[in-house]
Amino acid sequence: MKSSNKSEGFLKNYIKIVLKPDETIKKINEQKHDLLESLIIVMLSAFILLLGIFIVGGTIYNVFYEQYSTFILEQLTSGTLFGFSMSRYDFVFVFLSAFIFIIKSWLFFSIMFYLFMRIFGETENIKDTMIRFSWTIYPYAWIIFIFSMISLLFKLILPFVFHYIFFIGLGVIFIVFIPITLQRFYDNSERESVSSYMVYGSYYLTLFVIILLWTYNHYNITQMVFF
Amino acid sequence: MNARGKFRSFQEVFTNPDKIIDYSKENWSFIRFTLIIIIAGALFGYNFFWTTFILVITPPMIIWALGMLFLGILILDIFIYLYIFILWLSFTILLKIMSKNESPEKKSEKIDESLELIKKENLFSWIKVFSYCFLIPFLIYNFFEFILTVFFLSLNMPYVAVYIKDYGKFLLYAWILSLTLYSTHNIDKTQKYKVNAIILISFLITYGIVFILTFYGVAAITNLI
Repeated sequence: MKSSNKSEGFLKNYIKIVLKPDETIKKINEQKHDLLESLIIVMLSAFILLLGIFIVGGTIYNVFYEQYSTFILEQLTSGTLFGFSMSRYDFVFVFLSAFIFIIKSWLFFSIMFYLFMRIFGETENIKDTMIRFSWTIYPYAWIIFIFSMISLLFKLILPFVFHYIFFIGLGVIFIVFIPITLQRFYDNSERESVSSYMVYGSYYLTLFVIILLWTYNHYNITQMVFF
Repeated sequence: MNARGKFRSFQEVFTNPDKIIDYSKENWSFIRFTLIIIIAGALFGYNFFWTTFILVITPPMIIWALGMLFLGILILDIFIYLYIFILWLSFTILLKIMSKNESPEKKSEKIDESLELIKKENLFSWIKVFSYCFLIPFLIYNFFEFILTVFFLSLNMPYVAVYIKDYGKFLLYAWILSLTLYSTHNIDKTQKYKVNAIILISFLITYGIVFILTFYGVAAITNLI
């Protein structure tokens, strides 16, 4: 009974953190969390996100596949390093490797953010950072899932540009909503106040590092970096 | 002696955001503001022009290039005004919405205080803070980029200058955004996040406009050359 209540609360928090962040973050901060729970959040989000992308398919699937599979960190930490090549039509393999890629992205995001916070002189705990990031970024997966379903409609009306709408939406979530949610976590935590200058700075520097690595072998993206 | 609004060392520009905010409130003058825009715009125009067209420009085109450089400065100055204007406009609209939604039964004392704080400091004061949070990093970044561009161009290494310009600007954006978002830290939480969302969305709208215009503008000019 207790465990079912706990899982209900967990799912409620997972959905409500996007809709009513302040209230939910207060609740989350009151409870004790471990890394296993964070891993479950990330895995659940990865599943929801990929489900949306696989259902929509078309350009969104192709762009997502091309971008993540050729990302330098993915190539260095996957079978590609040992010469394993995967076709985009091996759907099961693509799903599994993208699933693991999302988990790796959680680790990378947390470690980079942690390092920048330490460089700026803030006392930060890596475990807390990982938990905070799992609650900050990954619950947006269900919003992205809804977004992919809307894209499914756009696919019929605007078949040549519907993927732009999807990826611009994804970008707006990462640039606007996630840093504000992250700041809410720091504002509502019991620990001594952390300067929002450092939090936003570290977050955007993490995004900067990701863009830097991303453009390494993506000529089509470097054209965008041109401006 | 009151040290507010005065920089003790250059390092403080990066590490102490309060100094920039105090500076913008206490040392405001329209002449200084315009001068910063012109200098920062000129530096930006120079960097943008030489790192964008350097690979396609041939020596006989130098006079034409200088003409384009001045035109570029003019256009980019307009972009700076555009960003500040969009930010101001969004902030004004937000304030109007917030004061309309004030229902005497529901509003808490904290929200009241926060609204009062925003009103007391008035819109012009906020626009001073927002514009300096944008202009000071913009000026400093473009000054250093200018030195690096001249250095690498003189060494006949334009690709390095282009690389710095292409990627360095993301560092500038990170600095501008974190500084502008930090400037709202005194506002009550419930309003702060709305203001922060407005700042970020205004930034994205401006970046989107600049991106589309430069995308087609640069493509057109490159084709002309």
